[in-house]
Amino acid sequence: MPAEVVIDFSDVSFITPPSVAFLSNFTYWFANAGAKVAFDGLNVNRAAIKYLDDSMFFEQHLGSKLDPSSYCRSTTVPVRKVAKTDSYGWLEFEFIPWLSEKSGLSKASLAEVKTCLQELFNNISDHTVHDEGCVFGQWYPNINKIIVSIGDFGIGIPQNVERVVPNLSDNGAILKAAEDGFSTKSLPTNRGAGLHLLLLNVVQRFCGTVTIRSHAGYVEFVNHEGKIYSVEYESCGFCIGTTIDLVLYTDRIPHADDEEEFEWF
Amino acid sequence: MVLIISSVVRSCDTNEQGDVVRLEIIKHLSKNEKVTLDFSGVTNVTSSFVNSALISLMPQYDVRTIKARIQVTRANRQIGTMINDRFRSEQRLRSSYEASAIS
Repeated sequence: MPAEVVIDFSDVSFITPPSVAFLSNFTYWFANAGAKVAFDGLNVNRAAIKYLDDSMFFEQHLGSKLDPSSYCRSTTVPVRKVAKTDSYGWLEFEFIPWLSEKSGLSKASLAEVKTCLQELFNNISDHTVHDEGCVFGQWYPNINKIIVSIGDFGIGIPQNVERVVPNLSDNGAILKAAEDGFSTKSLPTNRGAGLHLLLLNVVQRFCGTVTIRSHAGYVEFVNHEGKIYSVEYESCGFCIGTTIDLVLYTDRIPHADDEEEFEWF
Repeated sequence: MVLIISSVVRSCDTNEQGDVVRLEIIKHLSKNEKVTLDFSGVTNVTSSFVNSALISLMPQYDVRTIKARIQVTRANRQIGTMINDRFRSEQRLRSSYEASAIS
């Protein structure tokens, strides 16, 4: 690991919401490994840099905003590092109330979204030594779309799956990890059902998409005629740990009451 | 017997919280009582919680017994769906293990 890493923003003209979470994660990863991280080419008059500043990216990593007048936009949840133990509070008191207010959906209607994110934090805790992830959310009010990205700098899905099913490609490992019933853990008591349930809820039930990047793996899960389909891409880079993007359309999430009649399957 | 979930755990997020609920359930099932799980005030449950609270009853109690002796009340859509999803998935998994063991 080099003693100093400089991230040059000179050529950055556009930045997507998932990239904000990834970049933040990437920066923390270097810092955790003992490297001093510096940023170069920062011109807050450029839209991409302004977006990062408004997302509180520089406040997180430099201790202050580049431009004192930058502010967190009402359509974003600022990027931040969340430990598993803090994730319950972040979801309950920050993220879900924010999304509920923006979308007009009740907390009960957003319970699946909350659970999916909680599952991801539980997964991070189960599979990384750092027990924390970077999260960022962007709301698009005109099309009722929300993007939430969570990145961790754990060992990554390919290395984790390798322990149970060796010799898969990185995309193959992501597909394996998303299968119903697949777990690297042996007992129900230490097993989650995170990725499959994530796809079931976000993709199949709510017609959203899930994108998973880990190492050289890059797979998108989409809904086609009510079923989950995977689209494999060739990654143009390497993702440290795992970054998962959820795209949801809040007008596709049905209203739920606080209490509903339960029937066993 | 009605077990008010929010009176025994603060939330339903972790395996550890599921363990607390399972031990409460077993206390009553072992006395041949029926148990009603009351989820009033609970906004959501994770798969880790359901795995520890309910799926882990399975070696001791089969699904038919669990369905006959445990009722769920005042649960929202997410809670109901998660419980059923986890049981369906676990049944499929156990059936495929049994099938591969036989062959």
